[in-house]
Amino acid sequence: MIIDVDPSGAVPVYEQVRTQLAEMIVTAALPQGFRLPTIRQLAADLALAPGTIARVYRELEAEGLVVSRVRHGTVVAAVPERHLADPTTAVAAAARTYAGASRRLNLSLDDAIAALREQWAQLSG
Amino acid sequence: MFGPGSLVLAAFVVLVGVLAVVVATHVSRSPLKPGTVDRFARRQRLTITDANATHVVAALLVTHRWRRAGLVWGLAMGVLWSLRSSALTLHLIAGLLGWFAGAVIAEWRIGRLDTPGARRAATLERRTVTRYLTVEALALAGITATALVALLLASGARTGTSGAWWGWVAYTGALVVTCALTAGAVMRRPSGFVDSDVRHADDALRTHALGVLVGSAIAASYPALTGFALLAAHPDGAPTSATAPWALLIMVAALLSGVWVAVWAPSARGRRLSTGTVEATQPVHAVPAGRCDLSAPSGQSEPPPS
Repeated sequence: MIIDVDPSGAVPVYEQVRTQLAEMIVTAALPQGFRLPTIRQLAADLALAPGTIARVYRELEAEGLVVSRVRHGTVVAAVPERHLADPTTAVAAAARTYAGASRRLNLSLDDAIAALREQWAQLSG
Repeated sequence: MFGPGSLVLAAFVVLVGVLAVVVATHVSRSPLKPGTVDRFARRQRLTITDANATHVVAALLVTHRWRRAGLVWGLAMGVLWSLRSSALTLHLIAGLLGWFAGAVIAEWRIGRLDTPGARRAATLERRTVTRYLTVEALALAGITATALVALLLASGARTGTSGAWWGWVAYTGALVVTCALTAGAVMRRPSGFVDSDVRHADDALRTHALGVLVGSAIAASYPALTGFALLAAHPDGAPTSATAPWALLIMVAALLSGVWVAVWAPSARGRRLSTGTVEATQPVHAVPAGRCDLSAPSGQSEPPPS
């Protein structure tokens, strides 16, 4: 399992890490009970401040996707029902990330939708 | 003011020093043999590719140079030490400790070679000791540590806290602290390589480094083991270690265990991969020469030790 971060990308690195981890957990690519790397290790590998990774872990914990325990580190939790039963919530989160990236790149709504249509067509075809 | 004996001794010390500098410089500048890289790749089940050859060679070159330079310096220091008793002796332990010191320095310096680009990638696997060391290696390290503690307590109880006892306690403490700090540094070394081949190479280098570190620490523990054992066996004054056959046995056992862990034992990475798909290794000479210079490290400049 690899996390990939592009500091020059439109999406903030914090959001890149959070989104990738959340997707891996919701799709069960990271199984329940999987121990995530320490904050220090992930921060060093991605050349980020430990506080950034700590914030990612805190948010994932708030979403119920991971559990942090002293001496056990951060462990993947059972995926909450709302993530499994409600795809709309997951799509809304992804859409929010995409919308944020598009606005940071000064794209118009039409351009952003056109880019989305193009990707949709590529995946379908 | 100075007698002819003193002048001869001073000249000899200078000669040994100059010789050590020359030999250490020579061996530290020697290129890697392709066989060294091939052996590393086979043991760690690493496929050497165009993408990772430079990284592997650069790291192996640093370890190769510092360990050899450490060995030469250790032997030279041993010879100079032996001159105190007007004898010329080649001390195995001095060479071993020099080699160990070189290996430790090399591991701290390898971190400087990592110059990943702006884009970063991270694996989600935790880097722990059990990931990089086999159960057998950990068991041997545990047995050695237990034996050290048991002999330390036994000799302390029998002879009291004499100067020799404190000396061996300091030696043991320095060995354990150095080993623990360096192992921590090896595991904490950032690994943000986007290319998967380089990530695999980095994993192989860490596994290799920890195996060598623990193996050489086991081997380097023999003087303390025999020292404590002799103090415990002879509380009124220990004879030289050569007079006790079991002291020789401890030395041989520690050295063989250490060399086995460092050089011959199956690697933890190889064992991890054997449970999944095993890639065939590619001989280093199959990599284009431009990608793999066996005499010069890449990345940030790494001056050879001298």
